[in-house]
Amino acid sequence: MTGRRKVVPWFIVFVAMVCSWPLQAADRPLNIHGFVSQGYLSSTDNNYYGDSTQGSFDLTELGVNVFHAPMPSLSLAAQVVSRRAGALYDGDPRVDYAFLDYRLLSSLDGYGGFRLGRVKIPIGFHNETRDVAATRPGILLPQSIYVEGLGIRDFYIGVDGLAAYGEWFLARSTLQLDVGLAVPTTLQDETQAAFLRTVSAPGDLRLTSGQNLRLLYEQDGGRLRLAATYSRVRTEYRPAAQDFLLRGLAPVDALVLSAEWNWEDFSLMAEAVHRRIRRSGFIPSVPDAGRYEQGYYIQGTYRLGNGWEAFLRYDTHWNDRTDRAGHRQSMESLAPESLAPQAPHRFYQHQWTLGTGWRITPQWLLRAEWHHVHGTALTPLADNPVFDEAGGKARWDLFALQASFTF
Amino acid sequence: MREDFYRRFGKWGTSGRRLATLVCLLWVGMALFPGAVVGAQVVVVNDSITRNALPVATVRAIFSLRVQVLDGHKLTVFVLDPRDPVHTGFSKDVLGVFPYQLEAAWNRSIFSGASRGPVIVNSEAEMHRRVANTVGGVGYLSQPVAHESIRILNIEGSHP
Repeated sequence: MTGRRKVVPWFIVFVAMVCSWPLQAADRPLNIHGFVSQGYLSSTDNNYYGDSTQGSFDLTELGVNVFHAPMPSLSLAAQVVSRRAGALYDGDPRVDYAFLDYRLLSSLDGYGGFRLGRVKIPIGFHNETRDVAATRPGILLPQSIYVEGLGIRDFYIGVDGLAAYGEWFLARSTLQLDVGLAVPTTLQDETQAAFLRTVSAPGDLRLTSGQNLRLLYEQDGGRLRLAATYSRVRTEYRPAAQDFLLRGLAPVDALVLSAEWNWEDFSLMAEAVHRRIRRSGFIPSVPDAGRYEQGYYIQGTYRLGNGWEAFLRYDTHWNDRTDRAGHRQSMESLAPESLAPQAPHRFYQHQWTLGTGWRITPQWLLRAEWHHVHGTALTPLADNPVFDEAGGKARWDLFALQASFTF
Repeated sequence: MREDFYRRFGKWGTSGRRLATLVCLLWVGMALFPGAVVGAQVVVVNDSITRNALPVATVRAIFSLRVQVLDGHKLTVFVLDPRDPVHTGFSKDVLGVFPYQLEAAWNRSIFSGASRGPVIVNSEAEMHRRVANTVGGVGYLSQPVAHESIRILNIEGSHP
């Protein structure tokens, strides 16, 4: 990454921060908001976002958005995000969303409308704002649900297409429905690298089809929240004229179930995923394969007062529900022709997280958390090349600090 | 005052006996700890909003930035600092939502492009002035006030 590219996101944020206060104060029609966060990670044995075994500051998230409503039922919104996270995500600014929102219906019984452009896809509770530290339930999202390196991160962070939404008000509850449809597009280089496990593939990985459906039920103003999300993503690798990979297809279907209970001082949240991943093609003479990934997390958050909170989370993931210990998958990867032998710990990840946060003001949030991790399935490969040589350590610890500011 | 308590705790159930017990307990509680009870807040709207009352679900959705249009006007939501006791009282007692849930809803809305967020004002006097001067303005005050360009929006089903 060049020095100039590093400067660009900081410049955007600086300009936005300078501009936003007078804009907010004046309550003008064009509204600017944004976020800045900086993390520090320190780990034993395996790396998480940069050389965290030596201590890493490679977790920086910046974003600026604008919102403008030229008419009561029409609005325009766009957000640019720069995310630097270890070796894979280098902080290049990208358009996170940019869409036109039209409300077709607005009544006392509910409302409904659609968005056209690059839209955010609601998956579970946290996906739409996954890169905004202040909206997450910790420094790191529960990776079992909000996985980074599956080749569908592009779909998770936002798609070019159409989204329709609606909400109905019932006597004691509300029901929200979100539908998202993606148009075919070439996936970003980093997604391609994460998915194909190589940065040197000359062809293109394309999203050929993507749909998402979420139903969210909220009772008593959100004391109880229940959601079900189904997403269907189809990707295709189109090889270049000279290529070591064949045409390949990798369909992913995922069902996410979510539940949250909120009390004044305590919140309990749990989400579970059942994900079907298939693969055909890509590598000559390798048979087609399919597997079911599963995972869930459960988190209890206690609000201690004066902006302090503490949480405990258990997050767990299996790459293949029929091989939870990873032995069979590891054995298969150790075959003589294999280019990337993997240890069994690459096929599961279970972790306990103990975290605390202090919201100094509504804008400033400081967080610290300690993860005790068993397994590396959701640990970035790009930060740990040794994983492809059957290396890495099964049991390890990760400590993280983060400061975030929203405006 | 009694109606006030019915309005504030009506969501707990319609059983008259249960409510009466609750009111009595609160009455005693208020007598013992007068400082613990913040004055009952009212929803105020700019007089461009013509209706007099809305269901609590709609008012909650307005302050969560989900309902954005009313009577043909784009709404501008004014709130106090989320740590202000008037705000926390309004959130819990009138909307029936914990303040942290409201803040989470604002952040989700602002950072997914769904709305421009609420306008945070420094005082009730500023709230009063801004709601009065903004077409489609909506906010809350701790005391009902009479003013020509501002009106009180009742919560449906909770007033006599």
